[in-house]
Amino acid sequence: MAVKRTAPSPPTPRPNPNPNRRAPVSGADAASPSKRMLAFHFIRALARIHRSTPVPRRTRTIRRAAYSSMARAANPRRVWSRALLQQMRARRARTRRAAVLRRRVSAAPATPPGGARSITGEDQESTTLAALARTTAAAVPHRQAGEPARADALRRLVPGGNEMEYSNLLEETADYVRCLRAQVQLMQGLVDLFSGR
Amino acid sequence: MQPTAREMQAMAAAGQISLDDLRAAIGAGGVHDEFLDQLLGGLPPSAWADLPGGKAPEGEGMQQQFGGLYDESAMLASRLRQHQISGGGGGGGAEAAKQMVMQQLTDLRQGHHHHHMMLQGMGRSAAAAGGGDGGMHLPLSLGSGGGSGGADVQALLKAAANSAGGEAGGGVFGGSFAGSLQQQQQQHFQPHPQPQTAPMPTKGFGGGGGGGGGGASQQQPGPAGGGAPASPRQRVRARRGQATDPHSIAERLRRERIAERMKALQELVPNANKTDKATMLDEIIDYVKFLQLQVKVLSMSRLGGAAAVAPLVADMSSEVTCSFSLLSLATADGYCHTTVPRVPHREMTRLPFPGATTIHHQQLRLTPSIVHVQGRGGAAPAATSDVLTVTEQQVAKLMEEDMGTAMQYLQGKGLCLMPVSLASAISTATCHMRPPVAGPLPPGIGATAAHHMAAAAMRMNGGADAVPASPSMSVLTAQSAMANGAGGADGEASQQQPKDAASVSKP
Repeated sequence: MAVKRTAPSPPTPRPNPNPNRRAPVSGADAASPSKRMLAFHFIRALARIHRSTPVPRRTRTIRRAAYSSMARAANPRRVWSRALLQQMRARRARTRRAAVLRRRVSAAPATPPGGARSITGEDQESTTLAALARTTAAAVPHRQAGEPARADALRRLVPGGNEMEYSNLLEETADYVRCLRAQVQLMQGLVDLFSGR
Repeated sequence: MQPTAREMQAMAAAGQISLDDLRAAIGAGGVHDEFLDQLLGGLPPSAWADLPGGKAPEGEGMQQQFGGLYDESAMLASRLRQHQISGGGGGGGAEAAKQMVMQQLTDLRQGHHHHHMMLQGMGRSAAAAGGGDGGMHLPLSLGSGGGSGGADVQALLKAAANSAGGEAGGGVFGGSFAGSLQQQQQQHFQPHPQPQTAPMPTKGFGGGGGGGGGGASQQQPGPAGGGAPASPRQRVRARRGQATDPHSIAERLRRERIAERMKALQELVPNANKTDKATMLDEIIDYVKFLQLQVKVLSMSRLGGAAAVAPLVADMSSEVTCSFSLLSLATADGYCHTTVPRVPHREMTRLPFPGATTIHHQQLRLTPSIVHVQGRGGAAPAATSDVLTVTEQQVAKLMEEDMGTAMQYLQGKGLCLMPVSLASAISTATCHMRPPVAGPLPPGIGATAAHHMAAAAMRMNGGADAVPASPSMSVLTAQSAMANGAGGADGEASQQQPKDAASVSKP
């Protein structure tokens, strides 16, 4: 199953059926993310996954790999890409810590220093995360009066959208949508490649 | 040394300003009382008479005294002289005023009053002279030099600036002068000079000659029409109907920024009907959700994880199913169900049916094996064998006459035909977790399947075994949405060699 592909050419973007779409807006910078970078990161991650991860829960891993590669390929100046990468790292660290903790607890129930260390580590992380969540939640509440009520739904969707102003949120959403679309096209192209034969 | 009242009056006379106006102008600035008294004390108007005669010697006398003055005054004096020499002034009155100023320069010593006189004199004289470039320079340096005065000084400066600015016909000048004032200017002084400058210029520095007279006439419309740029600091007079205070300006900018970003987003999102902001925002949110869902589905489809997929298929909305195809294998009973909409009729009509004529019913092994194609996450197989047999017979009958109707019939039942090879491949895939056939299937699926079914049915007489599927036969379902994209493959499909044994088989 681990078909290693060496840098396939990125799939050609489908002709956009949207009549409203013009050439990339002059104001926006480099409209769509570099597709080569996207392909490179994603395929490398895919190969790694196929090699290592056991079968049962691959979907989640692949999805995470997709988001990570998208965040890496995107412009690092973007808030959402940084927030996404942070999210991934925190989640990975958390699961790793949790796994370690569980193993320790199960294996050696009475190792106070080690357990304490891991527990404190876990606590620190959880407390920092919780504190972070609390601060962000507290710092957010409807900073702007002019934004519509649906804006918080958008904030939840876009990674890192909680601490942005409304105008910045819109800009980040635009970039996020472009990257998502590129990612979907890439994955779809890969699926075609697999299934087309 | 205190400027003498005589000199004040002389100045006023030179400028042909009434004493009252001058008093009002200066009094508004909060000038010291003594200064005011001196200024407004009875000045013999004949005091000026000496001036023209004494021009030359005073000029020289002034030169001598330059060493005693500090730099600004020296600069001013030199400039005045240059102006006097080059421009020649607007007339005797102007020259007289200038001379007066020079004289005061020499007489005055350090202190606020010096500044007062100097600036005032300078301003007036420059204005009176018709405001050439030289005159322009003066108040500037005046402003810089004299900016360190008290409030009264600045009031005077302001008065001088306003008058001089109007006189010179340059809001720029006034603005720059006012700008220099701004550093130490206090707010409450500002309104005062304004009303007084209005009446003052009307009297005109007509003594300054033609230029002065013209400037005076221009002065009135100047401050009125120009929107008083020299007036209170930083109150930018914006266009009509727009707010001027910084808050609303910032608000306006913010709204414009938001609007343009919404517009950019509208172009990205497919359904941009240019409706209002609220619905547009909803559209955007839905689109983002849809894209995220697509990523999720695509990451699943490449694995064939049935357990993971089933719930997804169950709750997928119809639009989502229309947009992309997904094939998942259910490991439990090994049948395939796909999320697929019905094939539209036009797909069916594109069936050049090359040559198959007779199809034998028996060869169609339909009975135990109907691949169930479901629009939604339906799971149950079609029906019992009876129904299947009936269906099979009907389909076979239809196939004889017209493949299109046969396919339509099948579609109506939510079934499809597939080659045996593919079915077996799928069945093995369920065991081996091979990546399922998915994605936008090659176009004209209904057509190709139909062709091959028919052709293969013919060949089934010969008992052909499962032949390795040709590449184009890797289609599984009648995938209309995907087939929409490319109807061109019909031609190529029809040329396929009819080797595949067609059967609707359920492993």
